[in-house]
Amino acid sequence: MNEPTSKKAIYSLELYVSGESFISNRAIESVTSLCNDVLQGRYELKIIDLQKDPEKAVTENIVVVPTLIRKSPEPKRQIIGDLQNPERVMRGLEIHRTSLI
Amino acid sequence: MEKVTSGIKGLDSILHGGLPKNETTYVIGSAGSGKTMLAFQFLYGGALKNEQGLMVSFEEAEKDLLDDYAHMEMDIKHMVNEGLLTIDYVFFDDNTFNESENFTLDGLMLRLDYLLKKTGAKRVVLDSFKALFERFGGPVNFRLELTRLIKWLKTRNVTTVITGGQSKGTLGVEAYVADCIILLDQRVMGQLSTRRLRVHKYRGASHEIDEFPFILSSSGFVVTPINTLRLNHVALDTRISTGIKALDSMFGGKGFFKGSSILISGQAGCGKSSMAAKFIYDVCSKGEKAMMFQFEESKDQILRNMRSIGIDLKPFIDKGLLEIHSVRPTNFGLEGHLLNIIHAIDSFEPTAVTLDPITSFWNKDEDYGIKSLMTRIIDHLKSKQITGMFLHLMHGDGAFESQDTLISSLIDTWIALRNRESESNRYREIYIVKSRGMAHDHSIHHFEIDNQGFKIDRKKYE
Repeated sequence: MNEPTSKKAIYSLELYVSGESFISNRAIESVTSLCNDVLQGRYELKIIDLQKDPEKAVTENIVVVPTLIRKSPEPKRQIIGDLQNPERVMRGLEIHRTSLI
Repeated sequence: MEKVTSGIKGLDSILHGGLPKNETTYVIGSAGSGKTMLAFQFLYGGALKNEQGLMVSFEEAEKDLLDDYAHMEMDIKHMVNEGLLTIDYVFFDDNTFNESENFTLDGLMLRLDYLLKKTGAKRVVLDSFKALFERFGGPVNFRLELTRLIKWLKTRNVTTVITGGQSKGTLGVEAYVADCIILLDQRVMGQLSTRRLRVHKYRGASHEIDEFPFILSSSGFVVTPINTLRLNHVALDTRISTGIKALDSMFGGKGFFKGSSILISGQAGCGKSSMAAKFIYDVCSKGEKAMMFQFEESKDQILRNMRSIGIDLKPFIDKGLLEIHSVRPTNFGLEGHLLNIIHAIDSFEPTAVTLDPITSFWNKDEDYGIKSLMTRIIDHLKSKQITGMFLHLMHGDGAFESQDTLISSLIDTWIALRNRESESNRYREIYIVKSRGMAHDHSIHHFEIDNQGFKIDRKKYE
């Protein structure tokens, strides 16, 4: 049981938001629940509040928020929007349900 | 309204002082119209006064920008190295997927906020909104985001220049939030391209309202607002020698007025260029600077021809007292010529200038253009108290042509030369058509040019 799982990629995700705005909170909730549902334990999700860490906007080249970045597996993928449509988020992250089973 | 320098001298006078301090200026123009150049000059103008500048580029990386502007006189790289100019390249990752249209520009604002605090920038450029809009635009609320960004910038105590394109001739709603809008335009007339700029709006401040031609040179924008309605030149009483003793004596023994405009007209081969060269020779001999604009002959031709009549100009060029600019009239449009001439004059600061011949421009089907060109050159020379000599090639046998009346009103002193034939020989004549504000000779005299120079025979008709 453990073996095939370990071969599956670990998704390293970063979600960039701005403060506690409605749109930020909504994006955080929806990404968290999507990860729990679909990636069950095979993900790391970092939430970066640019109001607290604005330098990250320069180093990570952020223009709009929310921005969700898939750092790994490579190549890097980036998604913008409030992330309310799980199907589209998965498409953007290139996660295929079948490949996860 | 407090104003700050735009970094471009001519633009500052069009703006009656400069750009609105701590407000936003929107610069609109098509690709290649000079928007980024203007933006850099704005930042550079600040850097020269030790004001920090921040360039947020959505189109080009720092290295590419520095390469693009490496040939310019303004040393952007130096300012970057000195820490007076920061370039932030906002890169749009191709691997970006738009999940929805519900996003905000908070990322960019927080990024700007961070950089403003870090650098202490007083001047900011966003280049360009067009690139930003093309990447993220579409949803109506994105325009509102741009508007929100401009409004936010107003609260940051920074003077901002935003560049943008024009879509289908209309400005985006965001442009109207800006306090000042400058339009740049490039158009082609008679196969010659002319750039123009106009201040479209300036909230709460006066400015020139006309379109002004400009050129982009290695020193950046060259734009010269010459308001011909302002006739407030200082009229000097000082005289300047014609370079020919006998000719000086026709002007009461003293020559021209310094800073006046002089026309020498005549047919081909009657000595106009020689007379101009003698004048220039005399100016340079006194250790003053002079400049010759030649529209028909090359520099070498002029030097050789004048040497043959004993006027050797070469040493003055070597000493840096004389510049000869040879340029084909058809190389640029009239506006391009005007700006190039003015730019050259302003950088060299001569005492006297000759243009030979001004008639070259009359082939260009632009009667209005030539008059306006001459007016502006003469105006400019007068404002700098530079004596200007214009050579006018006439085709007939001395009868004045229609163009003469076009410019004669602009001229202070008019000398006419002509070739004459008698039964046995051919000779030249000289007379003064007019010379404002001074007593002058009214007779027609014979004159000769040989390797000893000019000989005016004043007795012949007395």
